[in-house]
Amino acid sequence: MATAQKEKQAQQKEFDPKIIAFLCNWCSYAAADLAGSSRLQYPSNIRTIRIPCTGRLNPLLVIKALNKGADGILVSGCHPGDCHYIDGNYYARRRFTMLKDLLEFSGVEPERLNFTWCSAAEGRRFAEIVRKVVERVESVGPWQGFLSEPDVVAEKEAGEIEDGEFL
Amino acid sequence: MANSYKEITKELQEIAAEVFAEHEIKHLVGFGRGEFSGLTEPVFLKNPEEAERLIFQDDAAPMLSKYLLKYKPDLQAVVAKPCDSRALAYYISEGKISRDNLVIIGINGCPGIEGNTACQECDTRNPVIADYTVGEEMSQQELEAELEGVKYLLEDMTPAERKEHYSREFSRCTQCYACRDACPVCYCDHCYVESNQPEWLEEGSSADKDMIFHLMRTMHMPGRCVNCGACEMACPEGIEMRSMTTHLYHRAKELYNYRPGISPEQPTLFSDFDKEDSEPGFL
Amino acid sequence: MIKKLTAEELKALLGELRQKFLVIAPFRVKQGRLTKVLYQPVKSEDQLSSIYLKEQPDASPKEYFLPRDDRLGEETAGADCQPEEWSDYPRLFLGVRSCDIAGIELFDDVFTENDFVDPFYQQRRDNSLIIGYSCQEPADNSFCQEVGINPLENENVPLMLYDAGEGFYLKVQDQDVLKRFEMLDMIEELPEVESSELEEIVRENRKNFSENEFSLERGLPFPEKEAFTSVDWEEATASCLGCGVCTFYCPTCFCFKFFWEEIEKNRAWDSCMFSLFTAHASGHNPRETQDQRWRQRLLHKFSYHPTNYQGSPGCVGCGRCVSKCPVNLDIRRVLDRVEKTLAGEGVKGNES
Repeated sequence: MATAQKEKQAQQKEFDPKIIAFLCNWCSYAAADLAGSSRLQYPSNIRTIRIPCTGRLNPLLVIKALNKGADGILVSGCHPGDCHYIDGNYYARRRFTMLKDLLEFSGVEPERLNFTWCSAAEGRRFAEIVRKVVERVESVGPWQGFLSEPDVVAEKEAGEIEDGEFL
Repeated sequence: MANSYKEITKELQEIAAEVFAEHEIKHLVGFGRGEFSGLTEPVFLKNPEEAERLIFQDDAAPMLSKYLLKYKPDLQAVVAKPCDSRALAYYISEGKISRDNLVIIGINGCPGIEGNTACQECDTRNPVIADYTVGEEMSQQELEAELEGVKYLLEDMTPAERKEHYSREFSRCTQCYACRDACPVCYCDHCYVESNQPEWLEEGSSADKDMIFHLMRTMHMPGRCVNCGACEMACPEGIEMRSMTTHLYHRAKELYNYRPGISPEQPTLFSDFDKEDSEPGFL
Repeated sequence: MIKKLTAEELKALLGELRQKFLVIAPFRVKQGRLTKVLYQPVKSEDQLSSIYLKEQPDASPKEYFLPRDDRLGEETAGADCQPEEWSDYPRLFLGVRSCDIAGIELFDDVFTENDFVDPFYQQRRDNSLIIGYSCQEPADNSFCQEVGINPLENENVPLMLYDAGEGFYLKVQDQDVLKRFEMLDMIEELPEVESSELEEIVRENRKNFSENEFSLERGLPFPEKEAFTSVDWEEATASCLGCGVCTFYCPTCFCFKFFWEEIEKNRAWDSCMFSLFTAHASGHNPRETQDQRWRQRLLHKFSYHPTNYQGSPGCVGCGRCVSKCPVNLDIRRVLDRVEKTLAGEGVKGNES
């Protein structure tokens, strides 16, 4: 096997994505609990943050999490119609659609941004979701930040000097 | 047909006198010529004799709606470009200002602002709310004819290309936040930028932080941004940042048939939902 | 000592100077939708012919003396941060106009006062040589003569460059400095001319500066208390958005803030036009509204600074704050209002 390939494989092996999971207290968090108490196995890459409702999740927190070095994001709330606060997740849905759209537009891989619904009874589904999310994030590799290579930036930072016989 | 600046100026001066006669206003906010600079600047006219100071020029870039919030308990008159009128309609829909406190002089068939790329793709050439109007209305057919084939910014680029584009653009950002200050719908008393508990934005300027600033600002914009281009016009570094807000502006239209500030009665994008809203890209 | 040289000779001289100096000169630089004139280091011999002296640069070279983001180093208990030893070439600034020279002099006053010397500033200043440039036409919105600055001549730089249409004149004003930088020989080789030739050009160019709509009648400093209380600041500055672009582009604005990244101390530009500039941790803000901030900016330049520094103005009249303002708020209009109010109030100017 070529060394480059070997290296790549080694890198992939080493890559252990950090995924921040914002889970709704009333459903997905309980689903994670159920998955645990049912002894269902899923990758340990997620770092769970319990939130009262997806409607309470400030989209800036997602940006901030990526800024702080998370490789991927998972946001999971109650199925539409099942919100503990009646319609919190309907509001959240619009917000996340816009957030996802913006981040993808500005160059974040769609695989890093995962939004889904999962009820308290769906422990098995939760384990599956996490497996899928980890797979998705692994497929795009480690997160390099919102900007392209820093040296590309530095080079172009000052702008282009206009050539001309001025002097 | 878009009206000429000259005609609009002439009509504005006539109507301003009328407005002063008919209403007990605190002031009339409009554009005037700078005494020494000759550049167009916002003016606050207090009496009818000053009406002839009003002008409308191709460098009348500032959004005047922004100033009204500062004096909102008083009855104020304002010269409103169509984009300004949308910002005002948005204010009213959010309860930021009362319609009863506004006398709006709308500019029909706005000829646009020199150097503002937003004007080339403008979809509102007549004011959405107005008490008085100047100039001739622009018909829907004309508008559609002008908009045909217009592409919005960076639409054709790939996300990776855009990423590089933003990396380059935002590296020049000096964090003056003029884009925010000039934006008519950036009106929070306490901006997240200035919040240090939680500290959304860390101190110091690096391209990375500037990118975060713009992403976070843009995330406040869907359902608010009226696509006026004031952010870009205000930027002293010539940074192209409008493509982000413009993208969401168009997406909100596609997905939710929502256009900010199109009517004062319309609920805002994020305070409303449809149970059948689509879920593009959700797992 | 006055030397005459052609454009080719000037380029040759600069080429030679590049062996000893990092030459920093104004260039036309494309930045997004704008093309600006900015000071940039000359990176290659070929770039010399792209140096652009015809217009006032969009930004003064203050960034090279007080960087926007200044990493001062790790802060430990005890001694203050000190700059590392200067390892690079000294810097040579070409084509700095009188207004910007005055801005740097003002920085000298502030940062190298007797009781406190900023070692970072001092080091950058010591390693800089400035070649001044005589303006041929007033820049947009400028009013330098009204604050006592001569746009055509400046005695405070060792070398002054004059554009003579065909070629240039170089006036040597301080040989000691040139000796210190070991470049006097290079200059002395050039052909010397009579001063009358240069005087003729200055006289000719001065004609372009005769007309000025704006005039500042009152001497500096402005009377602090009267200006503070009697002027309707709110009315005069109502259109200000508070973005602080004026202060960032101002050659004399030097306010900064400190912040720490772990234990690394940083210094970055700050602006009195920002609401956070004076905000207290308690939540109280002594300058609560934008007009109060404007009052601070204007009076700092026209009252407080002249009071503290023997009447020297805190504004060099370059006009950049007017040209760069997103709402074209004109400092001359506000000054005019202040003067009229003070005159109307019968306040005597305290010219010293």
